[in-house]
Amino acid sequence: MRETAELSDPLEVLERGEIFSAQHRFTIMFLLYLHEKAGFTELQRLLGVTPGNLDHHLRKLAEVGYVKTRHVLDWRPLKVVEITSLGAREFRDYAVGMRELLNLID
Amino acid sequence: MEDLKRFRAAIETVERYEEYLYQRALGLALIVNGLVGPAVFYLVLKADTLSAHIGMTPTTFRVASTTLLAGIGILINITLFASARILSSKVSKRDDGRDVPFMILMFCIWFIAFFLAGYIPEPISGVGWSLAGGAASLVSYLAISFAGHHRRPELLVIGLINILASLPVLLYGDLVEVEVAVLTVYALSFVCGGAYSTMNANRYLEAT
Repeated sequence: MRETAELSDPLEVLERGEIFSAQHRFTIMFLLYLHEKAGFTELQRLLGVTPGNLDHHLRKLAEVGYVKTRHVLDWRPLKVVEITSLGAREFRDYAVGMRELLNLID
Repeated sequence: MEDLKRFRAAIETVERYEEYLYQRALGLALIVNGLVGPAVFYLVLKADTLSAHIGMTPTTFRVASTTLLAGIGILINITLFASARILSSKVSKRDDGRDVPFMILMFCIWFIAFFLAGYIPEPISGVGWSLAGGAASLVSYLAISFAGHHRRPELLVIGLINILASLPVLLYGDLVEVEVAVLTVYALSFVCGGAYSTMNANRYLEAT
């Protein structure tokens, strides 16, 4: 999941990663890329946003198939957000594209 | 520049999340220790009665129950820290002693402490768990303090409480009632310390 990718056109990847341009969506994807899943409430408190606001960002990411949410029964009902394999791949490509772009600028 | 800010903010958030996971794992591990210790003591104390029910010799029952419960305790502890993903994290700065060799050192401290507790001579053997738990907590507190910046005061308090609570038995010898009281203190101190640690973890979630 985390091996580096060779990208022919970093700009194209950055265009595809337009969805990550919002700070909260970028942070959500970064966290999920590293930890694979997180609780909805935990994410909400970490980002300091309202449930509706977080739901809006998650819906945007779910629409393109980057994350999915499911309900689990712990000692209390929990809503868990998970990254999909497509989301992990796209985010990795986006991060690598950013790095390559920065290298070009250097 | 804007992208750099985004990265920095994301890294800061993930660092807080990892600190939250670690603090919560530590709290749950303390609670598990607080429950396993007295459970082992109870089974060892009642070995003669309980072993007769399942057709075992008391010695076999003591060894089997201690091994089983200690094994479950170790397994739960490892699972808790592994699920916190501390060892595989790529973001945390590793400035608070949470790298792999340090985690192995911590495991060794606790394992050796409880292993040695089994060799405490008979008249005072009942406080072995309490002494081991207290000493391991104190050594862990000192190790964490020397290694990094995030001190865990709950470990210091648990360590001091358990060592002080063991003193009457160490000074006056074997008294079952006192041993039971010491084990109760052990359970309460670990469970309360764990609860404090778990609740304290929530502050890392709050956005700055």
